[in-house]
Amino acid sequence: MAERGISRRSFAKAAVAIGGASALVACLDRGESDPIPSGPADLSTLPSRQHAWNESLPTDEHGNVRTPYHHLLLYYDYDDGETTAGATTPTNGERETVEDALRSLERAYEHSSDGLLFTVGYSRRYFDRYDDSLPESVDLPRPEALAPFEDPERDEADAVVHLASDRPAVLLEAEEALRGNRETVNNREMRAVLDDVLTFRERRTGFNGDGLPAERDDVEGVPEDAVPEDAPLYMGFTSGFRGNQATEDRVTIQTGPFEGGTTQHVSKIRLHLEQWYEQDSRSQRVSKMFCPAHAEEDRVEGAGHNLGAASGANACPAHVKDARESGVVGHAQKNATAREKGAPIMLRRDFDSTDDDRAGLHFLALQREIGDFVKTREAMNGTDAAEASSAVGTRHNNGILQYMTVLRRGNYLLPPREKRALPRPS
Amino acid sequence: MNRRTFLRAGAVGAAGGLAGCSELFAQRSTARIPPVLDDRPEAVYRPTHIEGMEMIGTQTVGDRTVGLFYSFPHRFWTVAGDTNRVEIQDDHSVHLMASVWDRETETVIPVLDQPRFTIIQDDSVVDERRAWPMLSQNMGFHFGENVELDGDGTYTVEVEALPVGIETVGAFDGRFAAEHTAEFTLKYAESERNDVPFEEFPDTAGERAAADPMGMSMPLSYAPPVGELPGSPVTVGSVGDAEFVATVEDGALIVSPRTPYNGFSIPGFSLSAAVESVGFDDALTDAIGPTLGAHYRAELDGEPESGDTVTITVESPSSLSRHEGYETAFLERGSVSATL
Repeated sequence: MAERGISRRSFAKAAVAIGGASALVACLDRGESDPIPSGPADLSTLPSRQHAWNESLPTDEHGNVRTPYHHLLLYYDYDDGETTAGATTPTNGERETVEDALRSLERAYEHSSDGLLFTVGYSRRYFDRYDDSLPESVDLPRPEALAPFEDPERDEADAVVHLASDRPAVLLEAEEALRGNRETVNNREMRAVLDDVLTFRERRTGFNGDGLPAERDDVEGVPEDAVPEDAPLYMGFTSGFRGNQATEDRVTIQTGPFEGGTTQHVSKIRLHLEQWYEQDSRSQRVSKMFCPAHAEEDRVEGAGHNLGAASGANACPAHVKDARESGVVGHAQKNATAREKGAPIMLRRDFDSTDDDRAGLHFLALQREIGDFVKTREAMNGTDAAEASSAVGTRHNNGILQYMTVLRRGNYLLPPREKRALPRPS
Repeated sequence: MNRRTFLRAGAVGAAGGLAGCSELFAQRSTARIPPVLDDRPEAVYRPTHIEGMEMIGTQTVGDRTVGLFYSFPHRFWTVAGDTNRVEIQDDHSVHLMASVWDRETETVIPVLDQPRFTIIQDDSVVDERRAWPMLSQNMGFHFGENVELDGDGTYTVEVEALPVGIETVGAFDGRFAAEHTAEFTLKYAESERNDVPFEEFPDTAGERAAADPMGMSMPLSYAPPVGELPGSPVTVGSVGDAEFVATVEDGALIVSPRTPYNGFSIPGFSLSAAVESVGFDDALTDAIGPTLGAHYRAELDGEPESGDTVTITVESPSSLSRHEGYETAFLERGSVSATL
């Protein structure tokens, strides 16, 4: 048989990961030609918080918000020069260009998973070019390793745009337009080009939705035909339960010039799921993802959609006690300790990925302060469980730490919508 | 060190040696591995077969020496709440085993780490795995995993030596805190792998016994013989076929569990102990020392006297992964007591 290269079907499946005009054509060829709902003429009807997506997203019968199926991260720098205080700072004209480009997208696409949702965030490095510092109401440290056993690279691009939609064609079209490769979006004029002001650095892509990882198991790091068909993520379980997600209010900055904004952490994580699927039993996977009691009592069916509106981690014994008595401790069980007055402090909008042809996870999370993320990650590290129990190691039987390697970490401020275009620190 | 093939010592090894090359050759396909016994004791038992191993080399990195070996891909068992049998995958080429010991005392450092094995050829990664901490009858504690190679050829194998997360005592105080990577060259030929001895025990498999440790010039993870422990050691009893020995030294209670027959130390338990006379009833922490090897310990507020009772409680099974013959042992919870 002659070499055929990548088939059209698999090309469409991988379209967001591949990107570019030809990927867009492949999407449209595949029948993605239903009209895409357009945005409002009056943009003041849009939420003032960039991260206010939940009202625009579908929910399931348990009230769990379903994150869009497809995601794209675009990384930009403002300039190539030094970013220490006194360096070149954005002009008002440049701010207008950025704002025009973003408004063009908002007019073109409905604020929904059928249209387009996006945020723009800025790193600490971006703000360091200003003489003024960020106000105390913003907790935005440079990214750093968050466990003694990890050694991530710092992501310090000036800006990151997170685009999300159920429709791959929307992401690809919006990307092409932001980058100046097409003049219209959803048949409307693109009034400005982001790349006229910012230097494009990198794109990362991913997906989160029942069946999407099983369709994309032809990459390194995940055995073929192992991921359950009903799982939204490679590890085979659902997440983002209403009871385990912070509310948008909880993650919103409450005071100061960035009131109405939030902070975003994005880590790039490599998954190693051969052992997870080939060497752990179903019961061991449930123990490690949730807690041993969930496994013993068969509480999790399939991907765990039966759990309803919460992971049920409050029905698990205290994690340190379980580490001692079961010799294994669950991921959800550990994370349940990172709460404030019983409520979660972090809002996950993470997605899996085939970037670099490897199974990966872009762990994107929103929280009022980066410190809230650090607290949650410390809970996940399970250092207390490892210290309390000689049966639990740094990674061994310590949640799901064995199956992932954190490659990169980045922290960003998502200003409120009115200040999203190249903001000043105060 | 040169590459060498290591055979097990003792009668079993001798019998294997006499079985004849042709017979051994005929048995070297993983498809010939005998099935797991239907009726296994809930204790240490002699496995259906045992495989020899080939040394890839040793490397000294910082204060530790790493030895790397390979054998046929193995079936083994993981322990996390329950025990799961790991089957050999078609693409597995070898079982890689690393042992890490103190460069000076040659005390093996058996900890619940998962060092990464990275296999590289022509600058590209062929396979990459975090190895399981495991226990086998012929090698004792090691880090092991079945890995995939891309046929005959020369590979670079990187093995992490991770900072140990357990208490270091005596001359080991503060040691093994750094992270190192040991780099090995593996010249692999499937025909050479097939020369690794493979031996079945059709008549004795399933008996409450163990295959002998291999007789080779490398340190194994033995617990110290009872008589060599400090103080006045007592054998407290067995839980799940693990033998618990306790002693008191310099105000610390020391508990040293070991496998029956071969006397390997057993990390990975969650243990507590009580010595009522000094008001102690608490968890033990895992530790390693140059003479005590891997053990569990706690500081006591007072010095127990001869005649006081010590109780040791296994709160959770040892979470080590196991080679055949150990997968049904060290899983029970329970208490044993003895008089000091």
